Amino acid sequence: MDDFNPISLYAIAEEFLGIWLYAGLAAAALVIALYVVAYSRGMPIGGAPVRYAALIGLVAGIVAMILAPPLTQAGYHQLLAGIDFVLLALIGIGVFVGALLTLVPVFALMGYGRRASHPIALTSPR
Amino acid sequence: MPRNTTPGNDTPSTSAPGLTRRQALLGLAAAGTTLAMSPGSTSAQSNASARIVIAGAGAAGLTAASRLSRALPNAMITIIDKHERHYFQPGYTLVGSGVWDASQVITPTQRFIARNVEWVQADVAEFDPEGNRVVTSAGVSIPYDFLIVATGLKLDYTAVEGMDESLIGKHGIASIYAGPEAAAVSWTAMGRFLETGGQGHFGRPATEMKCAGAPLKYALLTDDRLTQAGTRSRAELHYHAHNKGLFAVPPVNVKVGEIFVDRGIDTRYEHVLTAIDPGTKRATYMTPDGPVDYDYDFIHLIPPMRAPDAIVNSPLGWQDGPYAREAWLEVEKHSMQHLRYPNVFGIGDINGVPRGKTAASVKWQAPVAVDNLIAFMNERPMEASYNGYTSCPLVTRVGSAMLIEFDYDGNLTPSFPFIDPLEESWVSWVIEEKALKPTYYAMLRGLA
Repeated sequence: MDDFNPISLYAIAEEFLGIWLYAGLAAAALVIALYVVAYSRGMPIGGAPVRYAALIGLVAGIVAMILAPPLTQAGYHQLLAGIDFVLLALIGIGVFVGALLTLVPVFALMGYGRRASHPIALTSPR
Repeated sequence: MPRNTTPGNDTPSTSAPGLTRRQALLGLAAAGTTLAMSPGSTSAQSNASARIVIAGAGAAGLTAASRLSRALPNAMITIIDKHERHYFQPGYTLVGSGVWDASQVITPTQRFIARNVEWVQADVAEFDPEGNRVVTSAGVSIPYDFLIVATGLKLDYTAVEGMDESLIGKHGIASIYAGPEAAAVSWTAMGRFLETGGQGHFGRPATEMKCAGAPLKYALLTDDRLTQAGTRSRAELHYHAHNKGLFAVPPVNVKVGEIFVDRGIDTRYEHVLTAIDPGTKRATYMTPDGPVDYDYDFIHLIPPMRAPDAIVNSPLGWQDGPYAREAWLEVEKHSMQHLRYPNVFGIGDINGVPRGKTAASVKWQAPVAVDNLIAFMNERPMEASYNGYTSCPLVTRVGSAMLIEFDYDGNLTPSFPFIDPLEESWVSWVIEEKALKPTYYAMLRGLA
């Protein structure tokens, strides 16, 4: 289809999202910056930050799937075709992945993984 | 023949043999940047200077203007239309059924006028293709080398005896085609019908019309709204088909027929509305057996459609054949070029072609007409071709639709192979309710 070229897709996204497209791009740039900062400070990206982000992402993905039909003025009984459930799943997966990628550096910078890897001694060394 | 036309100089292509790896990478980066900065998918480009007049600033005119302004940086492009507001007409069905507000289909026309396009805020009152000029409603004569006719069509409400556009929203009369405000009051009229029930009438004219799926959609949406309101049992819905079918594409005709039966919508074939008496709420239909009267409580009235008066009064319309009575523009159905005036092209609802009075058709016709105009300008063969692509997101309920697309031959041509065109789905509704308008606006900007 002719619309599946970068220029057209960008124009359509711009028309659909308006100013929120640029807000989203700015947010994405900020997330990338957070990853850079986290890496440069040696913050652990894996482990606890991923677990916490995945948990929140899972909840967000489920909520997105629940809200998607009503946000299009449709009822759940309108999910008729197999492709409808595929779209719903893609929405849920997309929100999950987006939340995961966004929250991992946030949790990393908040030190969630670092506390476990750098325990504080409760007694003085002998 | 065109006047004041500089022979075209197509943008030359260059190639550099023996690229180093660094040069190749830089070239790819430059190509990517150029791709990002050069929107639109018109393949033809030209440095030719010519005077191009576009009659009409609806979907077709604005799209053509945007594409031409990029493809012909040296041309003088003038678009003529008096309307300051642009209407997203595919949204009228949603306004008329209460899904959208009327404001959602209204945008200032100025937003889509390309940078180097002159906008004359007037109507075209006269077409003079022999003299290569048009005359505006203000009496101004505007000459052209090339003309794009994108006037749209005229809704001929007075062709239905007893009907006037001012009656929309009153006496149980709905008509979403007349504009956003008419669609909004049609929703109000439907609202009253949802409460009272009674006899609901739907149908279409016998003429060519834009968005032939909308009459069916509105019947189905009314049925759905009645069901939602819990008053469906109080209503009888009747669809008046103008001929022996509900839809011109056979598999779609069968599917829609099944849906109508399933939803309890009665179909009366070969019934064409010819008169209405708002006072007594009586509608007269012409049938093969003569006129028949029915009482109605709610009627979605769609008027006969024809070319605007300026086309009717010009030599541009078909002179004979099936498109002559309504004076549709006489263009070759694949190239969009006028058959008797080669420097004239047509886009959109005005064209006298077998199919293609939808916004989706404009999306495919406009690049073809623009590319062929430029090719003709440069005395090259016109190779772009329109296959009759038409799209009808057939809404069956609030929240479900069928994404039906087809060509001149009646072949279903789905853009998304994973969406069954004859299956009701939420996905097709999402495309209709969320994706169509931004795609349409991107089209007006020449970017889709």
